[in-house]
Amino acid sequence: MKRNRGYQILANTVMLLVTALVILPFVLLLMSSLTDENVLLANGYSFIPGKFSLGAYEYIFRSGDKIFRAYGMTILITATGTVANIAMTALFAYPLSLKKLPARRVITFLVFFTMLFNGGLVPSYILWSNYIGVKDTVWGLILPNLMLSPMNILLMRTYFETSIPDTLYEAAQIDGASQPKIFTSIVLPLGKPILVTIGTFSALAYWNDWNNGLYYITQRTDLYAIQSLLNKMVSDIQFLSQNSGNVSSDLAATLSKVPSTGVQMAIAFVAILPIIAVFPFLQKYYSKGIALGAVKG
Amino acid sequence: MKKKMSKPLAVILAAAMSLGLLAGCGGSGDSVSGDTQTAAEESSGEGSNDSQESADSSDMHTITMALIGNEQPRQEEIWAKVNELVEKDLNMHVNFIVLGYGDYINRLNLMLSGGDKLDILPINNGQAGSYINAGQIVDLKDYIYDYGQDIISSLGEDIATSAAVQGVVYGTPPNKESASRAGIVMRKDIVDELGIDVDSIHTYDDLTSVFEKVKAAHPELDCIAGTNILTQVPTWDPLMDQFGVLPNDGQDTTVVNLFEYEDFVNHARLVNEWYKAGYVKLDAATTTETSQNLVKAGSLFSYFSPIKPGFLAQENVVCNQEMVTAYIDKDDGSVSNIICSNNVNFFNWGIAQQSEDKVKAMQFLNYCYSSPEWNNLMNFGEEGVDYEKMDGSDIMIHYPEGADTASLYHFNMGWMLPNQYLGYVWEGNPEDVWQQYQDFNDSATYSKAFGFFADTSSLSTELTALYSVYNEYMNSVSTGSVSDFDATMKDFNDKLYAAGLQKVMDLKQEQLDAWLASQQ
Amino acid sequence: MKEEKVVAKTTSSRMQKFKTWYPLFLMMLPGAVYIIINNYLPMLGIVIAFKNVDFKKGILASDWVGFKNFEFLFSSSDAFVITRNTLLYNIVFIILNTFLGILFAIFICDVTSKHLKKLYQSAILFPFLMSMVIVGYIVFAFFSMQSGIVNKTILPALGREPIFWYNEPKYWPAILIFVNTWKGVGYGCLIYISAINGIDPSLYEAAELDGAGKLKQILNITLPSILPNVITLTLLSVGRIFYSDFGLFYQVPRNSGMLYSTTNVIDTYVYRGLMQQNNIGMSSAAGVYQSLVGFVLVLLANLIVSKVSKENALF
Repeated sequence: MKRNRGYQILANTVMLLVTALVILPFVLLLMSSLTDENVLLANGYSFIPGKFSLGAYEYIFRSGDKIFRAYGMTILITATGTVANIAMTALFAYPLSLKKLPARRVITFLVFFTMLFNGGLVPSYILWSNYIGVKDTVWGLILPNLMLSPMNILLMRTYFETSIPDTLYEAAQIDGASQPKIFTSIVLPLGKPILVTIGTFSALAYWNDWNNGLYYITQRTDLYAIQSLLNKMVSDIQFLSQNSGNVSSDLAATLSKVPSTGVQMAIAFVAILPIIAVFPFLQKYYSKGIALGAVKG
Repeated sequence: MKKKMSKPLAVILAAAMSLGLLAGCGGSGDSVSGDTQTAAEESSGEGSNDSQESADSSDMHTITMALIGNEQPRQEEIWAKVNELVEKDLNMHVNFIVLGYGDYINRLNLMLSGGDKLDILPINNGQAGSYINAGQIVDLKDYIYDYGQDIISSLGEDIATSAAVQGVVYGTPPNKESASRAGIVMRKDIVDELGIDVDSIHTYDDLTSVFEKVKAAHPELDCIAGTNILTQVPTWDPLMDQFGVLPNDGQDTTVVNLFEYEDFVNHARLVNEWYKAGYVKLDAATTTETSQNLVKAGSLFSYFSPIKPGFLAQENVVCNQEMVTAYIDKDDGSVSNIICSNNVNFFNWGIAQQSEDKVKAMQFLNYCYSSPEWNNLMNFGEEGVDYEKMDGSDIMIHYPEGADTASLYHFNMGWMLPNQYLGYVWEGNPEDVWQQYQDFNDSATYSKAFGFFADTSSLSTELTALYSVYNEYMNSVSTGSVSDFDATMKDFNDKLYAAGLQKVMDLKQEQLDAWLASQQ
Repeated sequence: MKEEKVVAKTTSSRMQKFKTWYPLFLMMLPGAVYIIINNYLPMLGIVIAFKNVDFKKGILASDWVGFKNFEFLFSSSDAFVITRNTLLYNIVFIILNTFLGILFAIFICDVTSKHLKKLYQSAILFPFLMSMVIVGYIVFAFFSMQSGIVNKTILPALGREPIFWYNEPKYWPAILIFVNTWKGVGYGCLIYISAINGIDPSLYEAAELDGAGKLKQILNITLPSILPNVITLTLLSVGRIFYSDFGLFYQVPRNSGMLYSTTNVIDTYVYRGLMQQNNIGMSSAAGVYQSLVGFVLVLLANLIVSKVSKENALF
């Protein structure tokens, strides 16, 4: 340990620097959202609010329970979607990680192929909305696109393949364990690090998603998740301010009610606040998977 | 490797596909239909808007109408009332879909492509060509004459059928002020302080001395911002996309390149001088803040805007202080107030290709142009709750005294709803505002190409390249933020021609000549 | 493949084989069904790239137009610039994200303090939470020519003249690369962390006993162990080398025209050109073109990998 003292200092210095670089913009974001709108526009952004104001947050929360309902939706779809995602990914990735699986290369290729080619938005919209009928239902937020990512399958496959020794499977098979048994007693415990990682990716994807809300929710806006709601605010603001140069007098009246950048900063902060709060609690799951020895014994 | 793989690959793919189809339909069909049921139950428990659908007569035709605007509090209640009205007058039901400004293009496109239930939709003139080209909307020409008598009588036949691309009428314009007289909006306190004579401001050149004074007295202020400095006071008919325009208020019928057109180049040069002198906001080309917000924050002196009757009252509120306006006219001092196809037809009402009963859809649209009750309900909500008449007036309305305005229905999209002229007038406008709008329109110069829409869809490859060049230069030219003006303009034009500008101009010219000949 | 040999065997061994594998295929079924519905069925839509779509006739019955929808990608004078930018940026991104991702992952896994470890792990994930629109605002907060922190505070403090950031293309490769790394490095890093956590600790203990230093342990144990993950991740990125993060190249430079020579990529070009036109055929064509190039490149890369070490190839 002593020998590694220099190394520890190096590692910690670099990572502290990285951490600062990562967190500073968030501080700026928060501070700008707390700065009085007029001061922000006149003096520009600053780490220290020239004049403190909660105006931006008042603007957002004026819509009242809509925001809280949307938080609820987000939590619901994130939880459901992530569980389904991890389960499906793991169930698919484990067989694919076995070198003797028939047609393994072909299946891997077919999975990979979907990462490259897609039919575009319109065909998938027609399929999900007209044939499967997810439009204006909560399924519209959960099912399309997010429930299984080919990328995650391949990453998990690689992990299983390299981190779980074949000898463990062989031993289990000699003991007469069935495949489901092997999956639950060897693959899942040993794969914990990657399961948590993929789970995190999936949860973030669900949390950050607003596309599904945009495409599949048209009339039941009470189903909007938080990002859909906030993104709608932001895209309206952007459209109106960017078109201010080219519109006729028609839009000018509407334009006048466009809130300023401070509100958008506040919106961004509101959207990520809960997940920032949850982050520290997730951390313990990233710790090492169960030591190999424990399983062997 | 590829060869070896292809055969088993094909077999497996085929097998998997057929298997998946069965499994997919069975499995997901179950779960989804189960859920839509619960979803429906939920929403009907919640309320009002579903009651209209389940109400009674299932034989009643339901129109689905898309709107652009903000969702409103109490909209379900208002829509129920609209349905009562429509049921009584037309024996139909109507179902609304509200789209946001930022997402309407995407959503309409999906709804049209996906064949969703949709009858009536707002069509922005920029999208009209592609909708027509892709067969997504209906040619209204015959429907208007057969079922749209009220539309013709309220707009006049010329205007009602003015949105015609190569003879295809894609939609009917709402009744609104369409002229585009524009000018500069300035902070009154500064104008007073520096003794600026507002009445003497008529042209772009007049502004230079004003900005000079302001900059000298208030170096901390930006004199002007916005990407509309050059385009807000057009002396040309843009023929929709600005690639090939008609100069001289659209009175010349020879298509020219806007970016070589004398008026445009001179103004652009002037704005560039302003920029170099520090009058224009340094970040004008990239800011996403509206000019009004900048004025409110105290960092901006003035901006360009269209100016219409009742404008100043609204602007004072937005900027949180008193403003003054001056019309900016042509360089020779003559009035610049031109009406082109795209002013009148900014957002039009069209019928989607998938509409199940186009005749009923047209009858409904016709009704929207003729019913004051419908327009008032949609625009301002319920009388006595969302608004009340002002004392001593039959036509002026405002919020009820002491009401919490945030919880009231106030769609306020008169400029887009079919016929606001039939409805009430909101507080702050002159009482005869509709008449003023009409006079305003009548006083304008109509472009020779009014009612003409070029169909350039056959040149989409060239247009893509043109838009790319346009985006590259336009904002910096519009805000004057270029270092070498002449070199930039030369590059700009060279690239436009390389991208196929001449082809587009020639096509427009050809179609315009044919159209003009057919008008005589 | 061994199919030929299998045929020779008796049916009972076939049954045996079936019995061994069918539970595994059953496990894969939900995922397979999902991929078929979500990914393969809509792929029929690729025909749109070769059609002049008329919704009155329906997508499939519309007229074929051959490669006309693809023309706009090559005919313009920008074709070279956008292709060059897309490729170069992606190559730099892949190299940088791989290198820094591995470096940070090793550091994080080796840090002995539990609290700091948690802090770092959360930190690298933070940028995931910020949308590119907001990143665009923050970059603007720093580089705004009038009110940005750099021009208003930092440069004057150094006694330097303000710089017109949004008018000068030469600064943007650096800014974009930094932003991309800032936002994207966490993804690979997290994968590598999980891979490192999966390494059998006894390997390190043995090395420690042999007196191997930290650097040696990294070179001899860590890197070889996570190599398959690195290869998978890199191959996946190569497949998307003609795509780029639209937000990064559109929102962050604020669509400033003067910066196009270093910020215009295929995705932004397509967006700007088609925004007003809504041409579904042409946008579909752009996607097919991007996918096809990525596909060819990834097949090549995979071929090379499988020549070197067969078990590390992606398929």
